[in-house]
Amino acid sequence: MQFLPVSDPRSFSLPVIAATLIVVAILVSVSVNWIQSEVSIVKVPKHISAKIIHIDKPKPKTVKKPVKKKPSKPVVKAKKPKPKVIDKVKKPAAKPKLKDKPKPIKQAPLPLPGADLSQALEEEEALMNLNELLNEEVQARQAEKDQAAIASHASQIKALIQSVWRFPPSAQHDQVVLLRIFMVPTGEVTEVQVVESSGNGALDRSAEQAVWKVGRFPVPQDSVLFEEQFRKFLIKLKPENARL
Amino acid sequence: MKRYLSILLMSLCVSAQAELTIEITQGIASSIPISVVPFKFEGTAKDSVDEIVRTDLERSGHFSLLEPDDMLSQPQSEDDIYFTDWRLLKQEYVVIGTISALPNQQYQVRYQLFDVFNEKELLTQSLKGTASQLRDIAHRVSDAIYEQLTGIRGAFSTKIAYVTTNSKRTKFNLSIADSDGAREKVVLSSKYSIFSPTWSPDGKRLAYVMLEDSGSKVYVQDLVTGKKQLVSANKGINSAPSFSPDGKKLALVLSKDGNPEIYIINLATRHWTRVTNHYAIDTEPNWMPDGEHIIFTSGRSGNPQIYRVSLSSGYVERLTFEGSYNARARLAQDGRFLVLVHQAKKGAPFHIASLDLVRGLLQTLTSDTELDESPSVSPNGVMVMYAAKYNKRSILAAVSVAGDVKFLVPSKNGDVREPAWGPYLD
Repeated sequence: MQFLPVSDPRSFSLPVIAATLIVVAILVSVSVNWIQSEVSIVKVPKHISAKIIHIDKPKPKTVKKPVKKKPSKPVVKAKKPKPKVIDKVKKPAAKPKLKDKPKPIKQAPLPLPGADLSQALEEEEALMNLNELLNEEVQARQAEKDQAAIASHASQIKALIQSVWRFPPSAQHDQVVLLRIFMVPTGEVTEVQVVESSGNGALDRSAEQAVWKVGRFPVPQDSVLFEEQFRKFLIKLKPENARL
Repeated sequence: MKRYLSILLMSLCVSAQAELTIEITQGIASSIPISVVPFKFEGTAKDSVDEIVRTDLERSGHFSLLEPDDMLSQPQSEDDIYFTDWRLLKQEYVVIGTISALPNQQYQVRYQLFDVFNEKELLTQSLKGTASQLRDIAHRVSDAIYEQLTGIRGAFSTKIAYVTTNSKRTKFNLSIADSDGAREKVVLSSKYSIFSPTWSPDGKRLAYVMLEDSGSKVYVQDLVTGKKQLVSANKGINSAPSFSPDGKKLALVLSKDGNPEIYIINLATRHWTRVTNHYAIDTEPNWMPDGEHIIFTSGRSGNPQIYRVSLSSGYVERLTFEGSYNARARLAQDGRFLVLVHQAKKGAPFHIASLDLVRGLLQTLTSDTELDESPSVSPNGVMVMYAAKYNKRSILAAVSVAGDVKFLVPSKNGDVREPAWGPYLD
């Protein structure tokens, strides 16, 4: 077989290139469409859970928007900040930072009172710092709220297990069972694992059974909080009121 | 892109966070609700296996049993169990079983234990025996279920020994029976009174004291051959035998050298060793599981108290301090608890008490009976059998070392005294 020059009308090269381009174009467009549709699917559930938080917190929205200088946003985008707030909350231990940062703001204006330009710059910087601070405070408040929600649900779970946990007569007050519990967002238990055995099989089983006996635990409404803290968690059972 | 990267980083941070851990430090120490469904039985026998299992478990105090009449259904196979029904009845465990007749006059008992909340089988076993062995099989079923759920070895298959007398006190019987009092068998019948029966660790021999015309004598009797062997007939008192954990020696009390002291005799060599030497009375020895120490009752402090002596060093340590009278101590749960006869103060009634040697807590276990005496502890350390006065008769009663379970052991007539709980038989 002989390869023909491109100029030759019988040549296959051009059609082959054209076909390849079309295939590539379709693949790209399909994959892009698919990713976009994925994103929109993700947005929908966040949307629903987001509304509650938005109503609770009008302040963070107003503070954030001027900082980013994106005043006119479509309705869909307006709801995006919310998951971000929650995401950021988890990352830093907000409280210590709050105490650290005020210092540079107070110190900065003092050494440069004369220069107008630098003062304006300072002021702008200070404003930005302030906004950042406000942001951090909002995050800190959210973190506090999350901590409170975790503590409240943890204590409810603790009380429920304690009310049904019947340990065997062989249980010794210093024996410890560590269980890992897996739940679905409704709070229903799907799996119980013995992470660390007490060495007393009957005690281990009594602990497992206590979890199954409750069967369903109260969990936070916030799906992010649920995923992070309650999708799976550990419980440590120690029969301190045992006779032995 | 940067945004996705930061989200990825954040999620990594989250997963690196310590997993939420909830600590639970209090539970309920009450009896476990369990249902033993009547077993499917093809044939007839006088012993109902499931009924014996129910009685055994109920008596242990660690279980509360659902009456068969209160069950919503009586499943006989795994497929017929509706766990939601049992959860509704607040049951935590269910036992089902079948007894089938085999050709050679034998029966096969098959049972399964289920966890109601986990909806899972915990235990299944198949046991064979003749019609007369169905009671033994039932006790073995109880033992297995008990151990599985409590973490303590079951002692339902063990025996007890005790002494019975007729009302005129002219005839004395040394008998053994199942731990629930069933299937009594007379081992020895005598016109002389019999005291202090005690089991060898292998459960094949009994040592006891017989008060003959010529004085008290200590014998060891083989339970298989029925042959009895004289161990001690010294001048004065010969009493309170106790086997060493290896079964080769016997500790007992002799007054041949003056006042009652504790001695040890090697049963093979007949070699004597003196253990205590004090002008006060030393009596009621009981070997500790380590074989190195003996606990005993002594009046050396002015009133009876429990002491422990080291056999290697001879060092004596006082164990009881509470009350005006503590005597006849036995050990429970590898020596963690002492079970003894206790009198809080002079003139107060004698009751059975337990002393937690680790925590130093003394707990009076009995209150309904009078003149409680001779406590004997089950080999798993859970129950105490003792003799007491009840309706002007001497009877056997049982109480748990924890003090929460009490029951009376039925006896046909006359007085029953001096119970001795036998060891595990395998």
